[in-house]
Amino acid sequence: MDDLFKTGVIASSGMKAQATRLRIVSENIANANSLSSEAGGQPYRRKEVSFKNLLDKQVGADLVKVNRITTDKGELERTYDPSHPGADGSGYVLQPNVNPLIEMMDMREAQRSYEANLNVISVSKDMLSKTINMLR
Amino acid sequence: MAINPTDAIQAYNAAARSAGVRGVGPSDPMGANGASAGGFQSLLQSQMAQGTADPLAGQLAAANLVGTPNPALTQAPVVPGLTAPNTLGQLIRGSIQQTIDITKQSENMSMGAIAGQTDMRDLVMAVANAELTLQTVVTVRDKVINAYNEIIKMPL
Repeated sequence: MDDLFKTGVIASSGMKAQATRLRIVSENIANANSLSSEAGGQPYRRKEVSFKNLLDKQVGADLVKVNRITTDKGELERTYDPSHPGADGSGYVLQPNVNPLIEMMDMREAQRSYEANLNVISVSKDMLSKTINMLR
Repeated sequence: MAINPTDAIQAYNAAARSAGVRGVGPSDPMGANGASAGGFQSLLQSQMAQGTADPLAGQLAAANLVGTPNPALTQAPVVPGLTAPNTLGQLIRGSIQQTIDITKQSENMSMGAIAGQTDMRDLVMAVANAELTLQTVVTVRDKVINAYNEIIKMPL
């Protein structure tokens, strides 16, 4: 396999990983207000994604892979809302530990990384095209 | 993908040198311009022995340079070391087969994408690879046809 074709495979694995990351971010943002419907129950917990390198034997290079999607074990905030069905005995409701600012930064990071990989693909494609054009 | 554009250019240059037409990129000026008849012929013979030259092009060039009718022109060439996959025809046939395979793969990917089963990035990469491979093969084919046309135009 040509090195420039390999570059495309590697960069597209990075794009896939960032797409998963953005999916997790969107889950977090969408569920920022998802509370428990049972009295004293647990609300939505923020999800985190981690990546790892994976040596692909066919390509002969390290690709990116989503390692694990874990839940953020951080502390949950409590608000006083006795009328809510999820309120505990003393009238407090547990809130999800999603911080919209953190999610926004994560989203930007995913976007930048995706664009970087996209640029790598477009440069490698350009180099290949120019090589072929030498024959013309 | 198996077709390497750099290799394709090198293969074309080898064929072009043997046929006496101008190659692309950094090529041997002796081979590119034909130089003197003797020098060209010896270069051709050495390439035939290495199996890099196409037998048809070699025979045509040799007949032209020697100036006598070559009885071997209509017979199969007996060149030591020249094995089947080394001929230009075999190279092109192999490349086209690979192009067909890669194009089929990209078509399957497209069908999967319509059904919502394929990753968008895999689809885009497969289609782009098929396009580039086809581009390579078509360009090499055009170049080879040009080389043969130049040989045909030679006053025998």
